Amino acid sequence: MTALLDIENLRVELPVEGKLTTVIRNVSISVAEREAVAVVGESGSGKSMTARSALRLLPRDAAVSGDVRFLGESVFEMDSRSLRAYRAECVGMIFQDPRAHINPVRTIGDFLTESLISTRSMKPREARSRVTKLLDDVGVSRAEHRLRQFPYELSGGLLQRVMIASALAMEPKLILADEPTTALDVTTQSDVMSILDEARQERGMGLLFITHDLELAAAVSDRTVVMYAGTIMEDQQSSRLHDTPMHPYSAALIASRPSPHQRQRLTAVAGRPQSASEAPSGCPFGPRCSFRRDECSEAPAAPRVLPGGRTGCIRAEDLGLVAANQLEPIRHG
Amino acid sequence: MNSRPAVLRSPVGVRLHLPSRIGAAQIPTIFCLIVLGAIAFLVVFGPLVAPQDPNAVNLSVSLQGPSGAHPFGTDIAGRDLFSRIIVGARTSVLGPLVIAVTATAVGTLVGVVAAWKRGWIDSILSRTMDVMFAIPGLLLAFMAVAVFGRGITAPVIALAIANIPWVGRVVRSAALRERTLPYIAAYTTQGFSSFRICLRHLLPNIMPTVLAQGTLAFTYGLVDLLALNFLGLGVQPPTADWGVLVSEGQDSILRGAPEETLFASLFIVITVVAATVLSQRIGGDEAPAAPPA
Amino acid sequence: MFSFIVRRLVFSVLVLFIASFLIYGSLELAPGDPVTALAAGHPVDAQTRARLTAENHLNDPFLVRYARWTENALHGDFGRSYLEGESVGTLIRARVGTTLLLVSMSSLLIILGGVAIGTVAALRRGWTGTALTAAAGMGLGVPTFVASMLLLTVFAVELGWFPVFGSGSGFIDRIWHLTLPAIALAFASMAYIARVTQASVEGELQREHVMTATARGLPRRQVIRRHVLRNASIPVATASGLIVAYLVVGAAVVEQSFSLNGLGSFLVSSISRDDFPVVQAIALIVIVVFVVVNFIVDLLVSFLDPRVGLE
Repeated sequence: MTALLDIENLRVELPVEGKLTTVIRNVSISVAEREAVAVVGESGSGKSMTARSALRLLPRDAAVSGDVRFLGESVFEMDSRSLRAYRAECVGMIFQDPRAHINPVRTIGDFLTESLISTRSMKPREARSRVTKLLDDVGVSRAEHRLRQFPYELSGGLLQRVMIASALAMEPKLILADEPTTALDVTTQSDVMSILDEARQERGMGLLFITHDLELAAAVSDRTVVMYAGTIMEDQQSSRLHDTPMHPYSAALIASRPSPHQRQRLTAVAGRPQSASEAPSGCPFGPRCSFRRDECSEAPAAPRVLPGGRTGCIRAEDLGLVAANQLEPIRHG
Repeated sequence: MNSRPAVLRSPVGVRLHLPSRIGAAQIPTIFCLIVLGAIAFLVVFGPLVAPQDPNAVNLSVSLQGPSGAHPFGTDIAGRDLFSRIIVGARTSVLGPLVIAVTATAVGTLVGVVAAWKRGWIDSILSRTMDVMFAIPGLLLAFMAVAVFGRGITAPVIALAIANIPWVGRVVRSAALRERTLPYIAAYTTQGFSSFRICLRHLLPNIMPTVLAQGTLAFTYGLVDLLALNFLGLGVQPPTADWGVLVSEGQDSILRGAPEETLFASLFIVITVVAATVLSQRIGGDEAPAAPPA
Repeated sequence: MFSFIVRRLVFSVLVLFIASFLIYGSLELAPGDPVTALAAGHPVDAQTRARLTAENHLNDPFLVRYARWTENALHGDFGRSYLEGESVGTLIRARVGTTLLLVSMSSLLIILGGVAIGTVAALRRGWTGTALTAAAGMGLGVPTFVASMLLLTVFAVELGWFPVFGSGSGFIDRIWHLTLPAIALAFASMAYIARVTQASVEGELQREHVMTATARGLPRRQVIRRHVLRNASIPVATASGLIVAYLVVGAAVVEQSFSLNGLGSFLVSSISRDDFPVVQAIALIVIVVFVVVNFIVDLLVSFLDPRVGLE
C-alpha cells in the first residue's frame, strides 16, 4: 500500500550569510491515509522546514536532496502546472500565525473563495455559499457577515478557524498544520485544535501536525516523530511515547514537562538546543546526552527501524528503551 | 544561569553595518567613501590645489575644449574650468553640510522625543511635521530669498528647517520600533532614567537610521541649494559654484561648447550618487524616505 | 474609514490655513518698503505715497490685511502685480496652462514609468533586475536642473530632435515642446518611485500571506497581481502623492532651463524683482496643489487599505 505522503531521505541546506547550512538531514516521514502524524521538536529542529518541503515551499536558494512523494508521485519532479494542482487539490496547509498568513487588505470572503474560484472555476456565488457552510462547520458564527469583514476585524482564534475552513474548502486528502495554535491565546488553543481534529476525522483526511507540544501531539495524533537538530530522534505511537520513549532525548523532554499530578523538581534538558549545522557528526544529541559513549559520534544519521517504531539512539537496547516497546509493529513506508 | 538572556542586552553596534573586514560586499561602500573623501579634500584644499586662478579672465582662450593646459576646457570668459570646478566644491558642499547636520540633529531630537513621550507631545510634534511637509524645501528657500534677498545664508536655514520633518519622521518610527524591544523595558524596570536610556541605548541602536537620513538630507540640501544657485537666486557669479557653472554654461551649449555644464553636472551627479548609495548602505537598504526635489 | 476622511479633510484645511498665514505673513513682514516696490523705482512724493498706502490698505492692521487677502484669494483675486500693473490672477491664468500640462505629463511619466521599472526590477532577478536597480540608483542622483541641461544638450542642440525653448502653440505642438522638459522634471522622481516600488514589491514578496497564496496552488500571475502588487501599491500611492505635489516647485527649474513661460519661471522672476503679490499667489497655489493631491491620495489609500486610520 502506498502512503499518502512520503518524505524520503530529505536533506535541506539553506544559505546563511553566503554559506550553505544544513537544516534538515536524512529525514524520512510517511503519513498514511487518514493517519495523523505529529512532528515534535524545539525551535530550530527543522520541523517547519520539513512541512514546507512537503509543499515544495522552500526558499529559492535552498539546496534540497531526497524526495517527497504524494500517492507515489514525486512532488519535487512535478512541473509547475501539476505542482499548482497538487498544492490546490491534494494538501491543505494551515500556518502558525493567521494574522500574517492571510492578506490583510482583502476580505475574509475573498480569502476563502479565491482558490475555489480560480482553481476550481467555481462561480463566486456558489463558492460563497460553500464557504459559508464551512465557516459554520468550524464554529464561526454569523458566517455571512464574516465574509464581508477584513482580517483585522477578527480575533486570532476566529482567523485560525477561517484558515482551517480555507484548508478544508478544497477537500484535500492531507492537512499540513504548522503549529496552528502556537500564536493563539491559551483559552482558544484547545477549541481550535479540537475543531481541526474533528473536521479532519469526519472528512477522513490525513494530518501532518507540526508542534513543539508533546502533550498536544499525543492528544491528536496516531504517531509522533521527535526531531532534534534537523534529525529524527524517534518515531512511534503517540499513545506510548510518554511512558516508553525510545530515545534519551524524548525521555529528557518528557521529564522536563511539569506534571499536575506529581509535584517534584523539574529536570531541564542539560545544555542548549543546537541547530543541525552546529550539531556534531553522529547523534546530534550526543553533547547533551547523559548516556553518551564514544561510538555515538559514529551513529548513522537516519534512525533504525525497529518493530515498535524508529529510534536514532544506537544504545536504545542496552539502555532498556526499546525492550518494552515491541508489542505492536507499526507500518512504515 | 550566569548570563542574562540575549534579548535583554542592548544590542549596540550589532546592526551598524560598518565593515568589520573588507569583503566584496563592502566595495560599493568603500568606493562611495573614497569619492566623498575626495570631494571633502577639494572642499578644504580646493583653492590650494587648483592649478590656475579660477577667476582669471582671458578672452583669447574663450570656450576651448579640454587640453593639456585646461583639462576641462575653458568657459566663455576663458577661465579654466578645471580650477573653477575644484574651487566651486567649497560653496557647493558646505551649505548642504550645514543643512544636513542641523536637520539631522533637530530631526533626531524631535523624532526620539516624540517616540519616547508618545501622547500629546507626540501628537503635536507629528502634526507639526505633517504641516511642514506641505511646504516643499525649494519653495521655503524661494520664500527666504524673497524675504531676505539673494544670498546663501537664508536659503541654508530654510532648507535645514524643511529637512527636519523628513529626518524626524523616519527617526520617530525607528525609535518607536526600538522602544518596544525587551531590552528597553528591562532598563526601564531597573530604574534607569529616560534620558539615560535614550542617549546610551536607544540612540546608538537607531544610529544607522540617523546616519542614513543625515546623508540623505545632505543630498536633498545639495540638490535644492544648487538648484537655487542655478536659478540665480543664491550664490552669485562670478563665484565659482557648481550650480552657477551649470547655469553659466547654458549659453555656451548653444555655441557647441557644453563642457562647462557637463563637467559641473558630472561632479554634482557623482557627489549625489555617492551620498545616496552610502545612505542606503548604512541604513540597510530601506527605501529612500524622502523624494528628491 | 469615514471618520478618517473627515479627519484628513479637517487637517487639510488646517494646513492650508497655517501655510497661507506663513506665506502672507513672511512677505508682509519682510524688510523693505512696499510703497517703494509699488512705485517700481520711480521717485515717490508724499502725496503719491499717501495714495498708494490708502489704495493698498497698507495702514490696516496685519490680521485685517491677511483676512482680506485670504478672502480675495478664495475668489481668485490675488491683488495687483507691483511691476506689471495687471491683476495677479490674469497674469497667472496666462501661464497656468503650460505648467499644468508640464506637470501632468511628468506625473504620468513618473507614475507609469516608475512603477513599471520598480516592479520589473523586483520580479526579475538576474541582470535585468540588477541593471534596472542600478539605473534607478543613478537616476536618483541627477537633479532636475542637471537633467534639463543634459537633455537640452543631447536631444535639442546636438541631435536637434526637439525645440530648444518655448512652449509652442496648439496641443500637439505644445506636447512636442514640453516633452524634454517633462522628462527632465520626471527624471529623479521616476527613479525614486521606481525604488519605492521595488522595495515595496520585494518586501511584499517575502510576506507570509504571499506564501499562503502560493501554498494554495494559485497561479503565480494571480499571486503577483492580487496579493503582491495589490498590497505593494499602498506605499507607492503615498509616495507618488508627495512627489506629484512637489512637481509645481520643481517646474520652476525646468521652465527656467527651457525658457518656458509658466508659473515656475514666473515665480522665480517675481522673486528676483520683489513682486510680492505674485510670489504670495504662486506659493499659495503650490500649497493648495499639495493639499489637494494629498487629500486625493488619502482617499485612494483608504480605499486600498482597509486598516487605514485605525490606530
